[in-house]
Amino acid sequence: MYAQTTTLNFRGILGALFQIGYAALMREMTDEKLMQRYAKGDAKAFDQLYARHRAPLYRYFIRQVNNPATANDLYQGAWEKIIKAREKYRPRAPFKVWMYRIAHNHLVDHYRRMRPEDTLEPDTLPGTQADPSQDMIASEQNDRLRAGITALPMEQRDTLLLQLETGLKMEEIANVTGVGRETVKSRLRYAVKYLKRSLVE
Amino acid sequence: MSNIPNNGENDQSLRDDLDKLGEAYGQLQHEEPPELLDQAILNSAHRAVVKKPGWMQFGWLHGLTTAAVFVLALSLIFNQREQVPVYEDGIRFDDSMGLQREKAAGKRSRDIKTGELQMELKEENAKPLDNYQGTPVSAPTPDEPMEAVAGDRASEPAAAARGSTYKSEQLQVRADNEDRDITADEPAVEEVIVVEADSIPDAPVAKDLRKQSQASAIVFPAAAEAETTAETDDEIEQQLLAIMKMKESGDEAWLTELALFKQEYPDYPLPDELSN
Repeated sequence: MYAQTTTLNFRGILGALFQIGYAALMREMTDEKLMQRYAKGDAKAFDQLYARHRAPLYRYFIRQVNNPATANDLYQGAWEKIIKAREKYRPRAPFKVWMYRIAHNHLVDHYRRMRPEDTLEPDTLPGTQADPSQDMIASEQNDRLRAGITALPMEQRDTLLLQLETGLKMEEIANVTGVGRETVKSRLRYAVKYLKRSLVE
Repeated sequence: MSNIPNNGENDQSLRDDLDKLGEAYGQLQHEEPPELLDQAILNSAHRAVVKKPGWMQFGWLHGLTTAAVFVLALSLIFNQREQVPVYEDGIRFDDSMGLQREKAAGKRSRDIKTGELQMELKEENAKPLDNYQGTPVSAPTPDEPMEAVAGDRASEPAAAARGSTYKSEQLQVRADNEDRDITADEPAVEEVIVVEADSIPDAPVAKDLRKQSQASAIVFPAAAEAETTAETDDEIEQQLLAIMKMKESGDEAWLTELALFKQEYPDYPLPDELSN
């Protein structure tokens, strides 16, 4: 009985050590390696990948549509597409570029399906209500920035959010959005100019 | 759009503006997806890579195999039903043929035991051929070898035309059969028919009769069996008559023959002359 309990404990300790070591290994892995492992059936690799990219991708959607319910649908849909396309992934481009291209295309499809009367709803955006505990000036500036981003044309907003949220280079943004590098730069300039003006006002 | 010059200085100013904007953007609230949504996505991702059991990976193959086995079994059943004909009396063809062979073998053994009776039969067979010309063709009996039947009956008219004695040929065939070892493996009746029928002289009438006799042999096994029983009774009577003649003539061998007869047919009623 004692020997059996000892064996079980030993196995438990070994298992825990293995889990810790495996998690550390996963943390060290690049996105590309993790995606390849997931494509081969390692579900833990996806957990790590998801933990890395969940928040930026969610903000990319919610700042685009300004509606949490729509953003949730778009976010879930984009991840479903990523899961389905796991076996088609080839690590020629960075995983982030591949992932945001899927997200961008999903968003474009959403805009195409959207009826003309379905406009953006800034009122439903969480955080638009002023928080009394925050600094009034900062809060006002944030609201202006948020409203300014929402007011941008779709292409400029998309390009700006990809720049601010994901930190992708211009070439990578061009790859995601399917346009040239100069077009990306032009869109960014217009967006920055508009936001600077709206913040000063 | 072209009012923004594309040179390194402007690129630098754009980078500076983006850095400042990034700082302001970082001050915004950091929204995160709901936990339920996280859980749903992770579950979906895990389900997508869960390995199915081996037999489920080829579900379509499993179904196809089952269907193929089912169709094969059905076709086998129907094919077997078509191959084995069932007659009105419920006796299958193969079984009746086996019964005929057994009875034919028993008849030969009896003939050997009562070898002397063959002489009597020879005398009867030596009668003029007029007795046989009107005889209709009938199915072979189980105690008659089929080769003899096919050969004899088909060759009757031909023999008459030749003016030879048909029965003498028949007896020759029988004698040949007796000479053979009956315990040895004999060829199937059908094979013997083919071999023996080749030796029958070619005559149009003989061919027709041969075909008719073969057809009747195959189609009416029950009728053949009934005729066999009648013929067996006639032979028993003939045996009894022979024993009685031997007794009348004072031949002491009649006792031996009678003992053999009783051994062969223990239930057959004996005439008064022999029972005393």
